[in-house]
Amino acid sequence: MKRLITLILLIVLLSMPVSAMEFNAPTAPESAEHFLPDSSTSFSQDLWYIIKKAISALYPSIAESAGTCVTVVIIVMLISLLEGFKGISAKAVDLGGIIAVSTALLSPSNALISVGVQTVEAMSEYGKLLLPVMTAALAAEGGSITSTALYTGTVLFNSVLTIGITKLLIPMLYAYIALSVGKAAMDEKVLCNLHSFSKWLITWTLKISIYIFTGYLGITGVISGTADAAAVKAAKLAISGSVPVIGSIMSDASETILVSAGIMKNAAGTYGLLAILATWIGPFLQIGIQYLTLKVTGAVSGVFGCKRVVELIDSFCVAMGILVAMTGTMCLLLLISTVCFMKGVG
Amino acid sequence: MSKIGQYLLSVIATTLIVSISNVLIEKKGAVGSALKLVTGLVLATVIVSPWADFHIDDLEHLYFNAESEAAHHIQEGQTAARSEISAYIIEHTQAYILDKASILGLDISAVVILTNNSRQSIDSIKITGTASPYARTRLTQLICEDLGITEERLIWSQNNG
Repeated sequence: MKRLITLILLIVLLSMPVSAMEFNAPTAPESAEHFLPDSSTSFSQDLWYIIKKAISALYPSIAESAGTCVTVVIIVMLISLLEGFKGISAKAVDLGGIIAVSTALLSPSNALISVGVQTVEAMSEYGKLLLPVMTAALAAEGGSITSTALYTGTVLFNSVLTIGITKLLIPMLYAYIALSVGKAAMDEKVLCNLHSFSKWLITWTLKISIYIFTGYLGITGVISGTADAAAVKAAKLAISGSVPVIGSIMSDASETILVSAGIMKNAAGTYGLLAILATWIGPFLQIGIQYLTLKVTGAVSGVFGCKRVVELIDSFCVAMGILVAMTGTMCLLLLISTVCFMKGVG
Repeated sequence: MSKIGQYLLSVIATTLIVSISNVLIEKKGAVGSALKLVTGLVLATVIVSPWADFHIDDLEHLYFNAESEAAHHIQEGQTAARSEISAYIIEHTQAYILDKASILGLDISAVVILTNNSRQSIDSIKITGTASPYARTRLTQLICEDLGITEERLIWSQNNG
């Protein structure tokens, strides 16, 4: 009995972390978990595993997109056929075709927009869990000024972008699709102008936000990184200049903790990068496939004429492109900031 | 999605009204142009209306929130690192003292207490054990020289041999 108790105590003691300082990345979102490998080997291999898994999970989306593509092409062929008959109003045929194509494309587009919004929210939430870990780890490594700048900037941009995408850009994307249908149906000049204006506004907002964010990181990175590096150097000099034995113990302690904090930070960052990519890649490929099939559909439909219907298909394709850009911008923002955290002091 | 639905409905309704009015006022000269401008402005306002909900104060609030959160997380990281450094210093200083004591043939235990400030220097050392006056003086001298503390901060609580 005594031996058993000793054994249990030993097991408990051995299972306790050796270090009190632990910086672990939060578990990946549920949607990303099945893309991540069970055990990590190397970043490139894990990345390759995620890509392979995401591609293998893509077949249902390809089948769905191909189905939509075939439906639209059949509608366009029918329009082209009906336009050839005398006595049938070309305008009425066109309008019927536009309504039919819109009906065929609206449902999958709506579903993919929902997927896009969920992905942006999932990435944003994951970022909000990962960033505190990276901030604490970088601060432990001696980069308190850098981590303040990085955390503040990333959280601010993350929040602004999430609110901007879900509350401003997604409604505008729906408006863009509605205007595309209206433009194709009526060929009204005002609608054409508003249609291109809404597209310009969405893409411009995304571009500007990423430009400002990278600019902010570039400038604050240089300033705060230099300040932190100088502070760490000054602290090391102060320690090594003190009493020989205790000076060397303190210097070793500081060095060891800096190195171990750096290792933990990089491990958490690497997992974080993979988790962000795993969250993003599935929806990206899903929307990307829809984008590509719509491109192909537009090209094939162009062969049969029906200019306005082809323009409508192209507009739906652009909408999917914008959706890819939205999820991509959020992913890029988190990847850039995580890499900046991993780069650390200096 | 209800907000998006509402927004879409307002965009579509305004677009329809503007389109119909444009058809009606197509050939009305200067008045027609002015009306077209007004309807165009109305439509543009409806389209960009979600942007009206965005206030700069919200941005400021978000920034200060993020800054205070950053300070909190940095504090956590620094505290973790400091406690780790303290543990390392205590462990290695104790090992150093015990090593010197064993050379002098002493059987003692040492407790190292660090200062509470950020410099984490040694505040005091408590030594418990048996030591001859010579060995005690020698060890005190070594500790004071190598660890940079004054004799007053080296506390002996022992059974003198």
